[in-house]
Amino acid sequence: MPAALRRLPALAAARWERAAAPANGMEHTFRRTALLLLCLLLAARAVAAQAAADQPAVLNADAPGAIAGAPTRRLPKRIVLLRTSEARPAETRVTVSADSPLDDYAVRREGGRLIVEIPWASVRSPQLSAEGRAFTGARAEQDGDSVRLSFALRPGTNVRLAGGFNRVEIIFTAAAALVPHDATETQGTNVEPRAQGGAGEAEELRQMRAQIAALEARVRELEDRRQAAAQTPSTPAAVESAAATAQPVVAPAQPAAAAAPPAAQSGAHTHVEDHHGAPTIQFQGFADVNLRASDEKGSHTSFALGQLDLFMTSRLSEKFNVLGELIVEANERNEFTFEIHRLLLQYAPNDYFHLGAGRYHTGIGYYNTAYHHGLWFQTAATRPFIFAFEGKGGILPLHNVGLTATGRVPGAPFGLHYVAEVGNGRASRSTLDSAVQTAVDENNRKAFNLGLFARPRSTPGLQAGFSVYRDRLTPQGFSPIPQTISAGYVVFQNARYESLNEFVLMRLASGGRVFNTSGFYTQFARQFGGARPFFRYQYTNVPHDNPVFADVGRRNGPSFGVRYDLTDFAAFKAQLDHTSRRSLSSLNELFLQLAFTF
Amino acid sequence: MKRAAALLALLLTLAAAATPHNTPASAPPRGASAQAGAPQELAIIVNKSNPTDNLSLSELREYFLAERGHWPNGLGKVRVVMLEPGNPERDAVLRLIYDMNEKGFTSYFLGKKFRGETLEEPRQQSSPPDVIKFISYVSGAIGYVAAGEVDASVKVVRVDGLAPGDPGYKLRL
Repeated sequence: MPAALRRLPALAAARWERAAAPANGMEHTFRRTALLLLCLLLAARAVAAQAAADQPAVLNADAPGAIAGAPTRRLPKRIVLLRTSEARPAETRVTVSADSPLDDYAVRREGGRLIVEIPWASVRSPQLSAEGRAFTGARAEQDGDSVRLSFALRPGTNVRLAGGFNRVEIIFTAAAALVPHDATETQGTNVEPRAQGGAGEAEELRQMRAQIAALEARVRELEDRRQAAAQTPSTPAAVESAAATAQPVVAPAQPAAAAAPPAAQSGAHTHVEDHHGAPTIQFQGFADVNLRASDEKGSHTSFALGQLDLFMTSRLSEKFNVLGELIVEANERNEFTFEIHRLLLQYAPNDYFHLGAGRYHTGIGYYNTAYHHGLWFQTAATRPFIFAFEGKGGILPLHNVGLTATGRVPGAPFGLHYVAEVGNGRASRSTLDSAVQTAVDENNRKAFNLGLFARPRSTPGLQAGFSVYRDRLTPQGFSPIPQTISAGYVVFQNARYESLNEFVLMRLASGGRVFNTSGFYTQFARQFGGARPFFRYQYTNVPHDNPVFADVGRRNGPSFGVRYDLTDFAAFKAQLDHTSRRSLSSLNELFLQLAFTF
Repeated sequence: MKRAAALLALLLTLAAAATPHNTPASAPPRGASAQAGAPQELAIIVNKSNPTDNLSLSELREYFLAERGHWPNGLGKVRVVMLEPGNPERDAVLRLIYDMNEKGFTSYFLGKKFRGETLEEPRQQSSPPDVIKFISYVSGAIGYVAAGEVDASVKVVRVDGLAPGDPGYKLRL
């Protein structure tokens, strides 16, 4: 048997094998645990009541960074500054700057006028020239809660918008033949460059000072807001820009009309936006604190800090984004380890094709992608053993490095989706190898995973699928071992019920023989108010002569528990496991867990 | 072990019974007046440039659940607009379209992000006029308001072939 592949299951098996007899003093331990639990629950209740009392009356706002449903305050109105400049011949720029992000302005055409509307804003110091080379009759008006800029465009004028975080530039380019300001006129304006330049600089300085003052006020307000919201859970999230891509808006000049986008031609509103700022990262944290007790001989009832999961996303463009997941956790020697569990550059041009490159969660079954490191998501405190992580005795290649593609199958019924993955697969060469081959593959053969799953629109919450994973293990000193993992599942989830059912069949071929390992679990939960009791039965059976995972053996048994949501973002879970094991005594375990997201 | 389990179960039951739970925000008075008379209906609205005239309820559900992220007619990304928590229209949409409560809604979109399926969560607006204004600006936007609040700047989409006011229209407050 390849020692490398035996190593990790053996770690977990060693824990299970130490259960010859209940340890002395278990009753005392549980009494103390129960007392401690009572104190914890009373404290949690007090915290939950306080959180409910502190819930702000005004919820959420159309604010960048606010996730749907996450409590935030309404943003105050922005102070908008305006300036007109004519840096190049035939080009006039109107610069709009504000003391907070400008990501929701709208541009449209009304007859021959270009309208730029900035909601939730008030205008200050409008230095808007009434006439430019490309427009006439420019106006800046306060229209209720919005600032409305309008320009009567000269024929043939092209308009484009560029901007950044809190600034938008409306760039008017007049058609050369129609520009009324010829070279002579331009030279004429430069007759007194010193005087004009000096006045312009002074004005610019004055505006910059005003802008700095406004920004300082804004920072003070945000700091106040953060302090006020410190006791309410908030979830950072990406609220992306409202518009898709920057589009040029062309004036209704006869020669240029054909170039206008359909919306502009029809007179419909067109939202124009262009982002030139650097991408930003949005973090979401997940963590858990645990208490585990068992009748395993030699084990001690222990508190345990679970995983700190820093999940991050960043939008690079409309079609590209980055997804990452960093995990910090303590190992059995109480030392912290740090690992990049996911890092994917994703390309998603439409609903039919999402491509990712990097390290991903292998699309085997359902549990591995639906519930991974964020324990707050899952109902139970622990994962089914068949989906245990590679580093904790799991037998499946749950992480992979390579390419992953998924999407809807065009025209297919039942909301059919596909999954196609190719990656390095799982390591087996040496005991020193990490199970996940993040940087180097031990062979040239790549692991493939192909799957289909359906989410029929007629039955919301239902999902069913299957997948086939193929790899070749090449443990040192052994002939290659082909591996095939077939997985299937049917799950149903809605606000009240949860039913998860999965099976996995792993086939290894070695020495002219075939070794099949089977595993399944079924889990059912029902929501009652804030509590969700659940039941799970799981079964994994590795034949005793399996060339790779024989140490895992057979283990099966029920789990009972309850999840109670202390707040929308923190849950308490209690779970009892009873596990029967081949050639070993049964094992009883109690898990208490606080899982939360922040 | 059994004694500990029994004690644990008892404690959990007591705690569950005693702990206040955050329920979805109750409807503010604004909705109460609407509900006092004839039942109000929800209008599903899109940008006027959107050629979609009719959606089945299951299609609508797919858009709102971000199962479909792009319009089939080349309008680009779907931008779902929700009213803020506490609005009766939002409560109705959570019940009729999402089949979720507020917590489930938040958890659902966190899960979608976590699985890498979407980065788009529904945008939130504080009032029906804000929803209408947003949708009138953004070509791929879709949202809802009470039928009586719709104006000419947006387009009402039929649901299962029915418009608000038609007999059998399902989206009611």
